Amino acid sequence: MTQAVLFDEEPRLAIDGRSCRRVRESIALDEETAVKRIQAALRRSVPKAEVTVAALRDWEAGATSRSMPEIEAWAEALLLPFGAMADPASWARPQTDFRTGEGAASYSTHRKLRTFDAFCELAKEISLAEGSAEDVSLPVGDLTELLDARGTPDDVAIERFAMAIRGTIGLTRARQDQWADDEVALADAATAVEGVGVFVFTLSLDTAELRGASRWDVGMPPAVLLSSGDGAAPRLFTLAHELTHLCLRQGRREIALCTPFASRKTTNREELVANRVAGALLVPSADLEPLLADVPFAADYRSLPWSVRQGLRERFNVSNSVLGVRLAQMGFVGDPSLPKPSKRGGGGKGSLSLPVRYRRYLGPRALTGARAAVANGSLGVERIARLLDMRTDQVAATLET
Amino acid sequence: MADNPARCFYADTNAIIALVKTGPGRQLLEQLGDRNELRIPKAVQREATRRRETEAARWVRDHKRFVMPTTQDVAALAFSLASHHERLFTTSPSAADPELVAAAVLHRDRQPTPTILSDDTGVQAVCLEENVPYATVRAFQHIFGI
Repeated sequence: MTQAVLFDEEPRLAIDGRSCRRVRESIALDEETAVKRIQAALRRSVPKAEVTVAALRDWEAGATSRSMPEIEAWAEALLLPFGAMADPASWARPQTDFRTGEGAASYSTHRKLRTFDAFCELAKEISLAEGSAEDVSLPVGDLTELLDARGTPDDVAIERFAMAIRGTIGLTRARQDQWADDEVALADAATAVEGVGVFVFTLSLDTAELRGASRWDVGMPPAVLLSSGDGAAPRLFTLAHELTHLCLRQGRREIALCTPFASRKTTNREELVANRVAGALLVPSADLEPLLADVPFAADYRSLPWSVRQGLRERFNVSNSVLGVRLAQMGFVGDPSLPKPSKRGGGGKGSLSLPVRYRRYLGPRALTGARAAVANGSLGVERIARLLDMRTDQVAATLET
Repeated sequence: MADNPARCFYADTNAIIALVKTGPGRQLLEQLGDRNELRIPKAVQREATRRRETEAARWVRDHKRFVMPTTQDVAALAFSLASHHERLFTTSPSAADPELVAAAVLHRDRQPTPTILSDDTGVQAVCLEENVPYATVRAFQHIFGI
C-alpha cells in the first residue's frame, strides 16, 4: 500500500522540507538512517507504512504537505519536539565540518577538530596496518529503543544497554574496586575502551565550546576525543558518554560533538540518553544499591552526609555532579531540578501534587523500598506523607502498583 | 447512548494510563465513553498505543470507538499551539498534547463544553492560557467518587 493511500484520511499540514533537511544535516544524520527512523516511528501506528530515500528527498525538496503521523515520525527522526516542525529553520544548528573545522565557533576549536581529523586518519592507518579495522564490535544501540512512549529515557532499557557495554569492554566491579584515584580510573577505563578497538585521544579543547567528540566512519576505527582541560573524573564521564554515542551511531559517517556539560538541561534526546547510559555504565544500580541501603532518603545529593558522598566518590571515581544526577535518577535522593512539594498541591510543571509526578520524583529505588516497608509494616503511609510533605491519599496513590 | 451528554472529557495519555490501572477507573472510562462523555483524540491514541504491551495501549486499542478523528482545523491549530507554547509542551515528537488542547479549544462552544483530563502541568498551563477547562485525574476520581 502506498504512503498516500495509508494517510489519505489524515489532515495534512505544510512543512518546510528544505529547513528539515538543514536540521538533518546539522545533526549529521544521513538519509538512510533518517528513513529508517521515520519508518520505524510510522510503523508503530501503521504497520504497513513504507518510506524510501526517494520519498524523503521529495519531502526535503521544498514545501511539502504531510499528515500528522508523518510529521510526528519526521520530528522523532530529527530529534525535535512536534512544535519545532512548524519552524524547523530555527532548530538547525550551524554545522561544523569536522574535516576542515569550518563552522566551529572559534579558531581554537576549528584547529582542534582538524587535529582530531588527523588523529582519526592516523588511527585508520594503524588499524589497516594491524588488520584490525573490522574487528571492533560494540553493542548496537537504537535510540528509539532507549526512549519510552513519551520520548524520555527508559531507565530499564538504559540500564540493560549500559550493562551490555560494560560486558563488552570488560568493566567489572572488581576492576573498578582497584581504581585508587581518578587518574588511575581514567587511565584504566581508557585502556578498557581501547581494548575493544576504540582510539581515545586527548587534546586541550576550549571546554566552553567543546567537551568531547566521537567519530566512527565506515572503514575507520571508532575514535573518541577528550579534553585535557577537564579533570580526570569529568573526563571519565565524557569517555563513557562518547562511547555511548559510538554505540548509537555505528559505522555512520557522523561526528558527535558534545558541547559543555548541561546534562539535565539538554533537550537533545541522544545527549540525554548518552548521559543516562554513561551514568549507568560507571555507577551501576546493582553496585550502588547495597552501599545506600541504610542511608535515609535525602532532599538532594548535597544533603547526604559528607562521609557517604566521599565514599561514593572514592568508590566510583566520578564527579559529585554525576553522582548527584545518578542518585536522583535512581530515587536515592530528591531531584533538585524539580520543584519542592507544595502543601496545597498543584503548582508548576513537574509539581508534586500529581501521582504520576511523584513516581518520577521518587524513582524506582525509593518506590520499591517504600512499598516494601509499608507492606511489612515498618513504615506507615502517614510517616511517608509527613516526610515528603504529601497527603496520605497521594502517598497511597503513588505507592499503588 | 445519550444524545445530549451532561459533560464531556477529552483524555490525555497519562490520564488513561492512570485510570485503566484500576477496575473502577476502567469501568468509569468505558461508561463515559459509551455515553459520548469521553473522547480520545487520534494523536493520543497513537501515543498511548506506541508501546504495544502496556495495559493502557491494550485498552485504547480495544476502545477505538472513543477515538476522535483529527480534522484539518484541529491539526492546524495543534501545530500552531505546539509552536506557540513550545516551552509548556513536553519535548516529545508526539502531537498528542497539542491536539488534545486544540480539539478542546475548537469545541469550546459546544454543549457540553469539553473538559481536558490531564495530569500534565504543561497541558494545564496551556489550558489556562487558552481558557479551556481541565481536570486532574485526582479531581476526576473525586467527582465520580472512585
